[in-house]
Amino acid sequence: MHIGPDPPPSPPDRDGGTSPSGRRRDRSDPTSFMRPEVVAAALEPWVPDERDREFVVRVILDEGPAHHRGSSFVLLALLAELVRRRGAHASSQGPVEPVRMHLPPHVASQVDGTYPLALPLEPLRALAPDDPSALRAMADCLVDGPAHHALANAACVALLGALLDPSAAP
Amino acid sequence: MISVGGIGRAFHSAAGELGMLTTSRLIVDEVFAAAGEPGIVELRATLGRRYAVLDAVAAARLAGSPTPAPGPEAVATALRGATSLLVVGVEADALDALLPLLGGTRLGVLAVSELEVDWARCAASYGAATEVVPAADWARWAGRRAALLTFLYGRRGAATFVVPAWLRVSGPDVRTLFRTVLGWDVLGRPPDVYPRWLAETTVRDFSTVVGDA
Amino acid sequence: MTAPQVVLTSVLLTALAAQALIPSHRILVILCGAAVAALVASLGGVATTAVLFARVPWDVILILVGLGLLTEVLASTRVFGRLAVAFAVASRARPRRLLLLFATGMYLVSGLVNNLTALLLVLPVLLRLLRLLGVDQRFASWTLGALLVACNLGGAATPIGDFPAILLLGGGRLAFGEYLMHAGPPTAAALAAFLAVTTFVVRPDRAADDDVTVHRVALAVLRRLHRNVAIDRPLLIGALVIECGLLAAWLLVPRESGIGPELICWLGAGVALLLRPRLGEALVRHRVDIEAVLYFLGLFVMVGAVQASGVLDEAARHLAAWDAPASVRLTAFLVAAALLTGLLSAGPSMAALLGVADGLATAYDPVVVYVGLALAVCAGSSLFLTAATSGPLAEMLTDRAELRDQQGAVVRFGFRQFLPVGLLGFSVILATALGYVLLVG
Repeated sequence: MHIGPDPPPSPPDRDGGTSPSGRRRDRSDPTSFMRPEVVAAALEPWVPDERDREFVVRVILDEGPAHHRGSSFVLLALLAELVRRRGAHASSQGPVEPVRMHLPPHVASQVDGTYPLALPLEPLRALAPDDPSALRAMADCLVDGPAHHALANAACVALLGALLDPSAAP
Repeated sequence: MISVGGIGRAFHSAAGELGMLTTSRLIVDEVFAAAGEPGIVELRATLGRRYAVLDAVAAARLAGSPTPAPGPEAVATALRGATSLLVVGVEADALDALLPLLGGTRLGVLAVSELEVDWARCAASYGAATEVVPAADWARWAGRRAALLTFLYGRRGAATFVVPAWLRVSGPDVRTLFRTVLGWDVLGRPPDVYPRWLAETTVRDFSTVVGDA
Repeated sequence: MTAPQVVLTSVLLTALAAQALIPSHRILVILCGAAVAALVASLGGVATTAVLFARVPWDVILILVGLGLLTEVLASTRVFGRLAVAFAVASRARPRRLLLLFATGMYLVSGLVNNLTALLLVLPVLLRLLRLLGVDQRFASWTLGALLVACNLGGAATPIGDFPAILLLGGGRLAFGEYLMHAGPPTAAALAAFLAVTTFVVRPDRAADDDVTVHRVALAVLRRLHRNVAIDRPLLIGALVIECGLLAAWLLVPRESGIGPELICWLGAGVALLLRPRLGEALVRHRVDIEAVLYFLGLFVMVGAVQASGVLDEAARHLAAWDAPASVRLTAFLVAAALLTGLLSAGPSMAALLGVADGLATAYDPVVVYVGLALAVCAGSSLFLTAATSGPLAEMLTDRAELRDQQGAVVRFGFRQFLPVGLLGFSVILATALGYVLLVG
């Protein structure tokens, strides 16, 4: 896997559209090293629908301050590489905590306001095996904050879960 | 001799409800039918500076390549799987063509415009499948299967031109609430003159841009 | 005159004057006036409130509501908007044709449906076209004015077109066919005369822009704006069949059968609403013209109190005792009715004068008296912009349309702009009314 700063040119957006993220090819952009397809591939087991996955990756890598976007990419790409090297099997089974959109309260109950990627709770049990309230508090911390924070957290935990899963050991 | 006031009135009166491109195409077609190429030249000379989209459409007609009607197929493909679509701004030609391809997707048109619009008639024009959405209700159209669309009037590098209403809606917080944020370039070429009724933004507002680059 | 007669007449006249002067508060004025009239009538021993309410011609109110709902069903089919576009297209945006087509069209429409609803749906299309054409003040004033005069004439042409005629029909004073036969031709003649004078003498289009390109663009824009506004054909066909059925029943069912025009209207409106039960329920809940109902209810209570006091009978007796030929008395009455209507508007004037007309009808051909009165009231309601309810509506819609002429000057449509049109309309219609009375009577 190549996660260096000199990626091949991104293919044009499928369906005839073009990707507007000119930033990715712009060397003056401090996050031009990011390769969304790496993160998208890593999240496939948890977000099987391609468009849903694009949505999640866009929020993680296109929104928020540059340092956060870049950091999220680096951490997720490294975790993805680790999962690949360990040959770990990602599991989308188990309880999850939805990552909610920040919609006005009066609207929240009327629309499907959760992101396609949820926070897996199983990996957190390693930190609080018999303490549901601590588990709850951890989940609350992870899904709180701006959408790009919360989704990056959920993606990290998902990948860490794959690594921690004993059944995934080589 | 083109009546500057008459055509200008027609443009202003219709652009909000039909869209700048649709109105421009209509006016250029009618002027061409009535006065031929000299009429288009006069139209550009008298009203071109004031109405950039009209100028671009007239220029294309003079160049022998009339602005084609916007093709909706790529947009429909980009919207596949979306359960709802909220449109900011109106382009009648484009929406008329897109509507039959949307299948079960709910369509809403946000009732925000700097130009005069009879929203009730606007809704009636698109049938029962279309809702006119009050500005305060945009969030009801957000969600994991929701799409947000506006029309682009040409691109120059990363810059693009949109109706000012887009700036009232778009923003980092809004972009995270729609699965697809679509820019549909209906003009296909940047305006030659300062687009005084449009606002400049960047293509980075959009998750997908469709249309001639 | 007795004290109650003086007070009740004063209350009626004060309320009518106040509602004409402050049209924005007319319902409140009339309802308060009615309450005061009921109080005076009760204290003066003229009539109790129960008696006054028993005298209210509920059949008239029922017809008013029923026809209003029927018009709403028709409006739901979007036929009026399409008609307006069809008029505009047929006129090819030529100013003179535009004026003639819209005026004639509104005359025909107003004879069959509530002209306020029709105007509300047709006028925006016309105003949009006038705006696209950048017409001058004079042409706009005459075109919009002609539309209102045509609406008034259409309303007077049939027994169901407007309130004065409905009052005659509901009260059993005239049969449906009788009114139609007598009022239809004079109103058509008056419209023809009015449009002829407007077109050939006034010539409001003489300064209009003749730029063919602008006409083409204006029409293309208008067509485009209304491109997908489709008529609900099944509903339209159903509503038209019911409307035809109503007309036939009004013409053919004899009053002696016990089935009056109000019951026919009630049944017809009910069937029309049942064509689309959900729409029908919504229309009944939200679109009944409750303003009109309350306004006329208050008016009837006030007029009923004055009538119970015997003032109107005395006025009729005085008129009958006037030592002049019957035709002179009738002419004087009609001129007075027309002028009074100009000041008070059609509804109040008709309601107040009908009692006097009833007296005249005993000494003269009743059909001629009542139809003459309806025509005179129509003339009066065309005199000033405030004399018919459609006037303020047209003023408001025109304000909202922000019309401008070629030079960018604001084009208005208010009392002053309507006045020349109103004077011509008033003169032509009143002359027609008097001509009708003298020829037929």
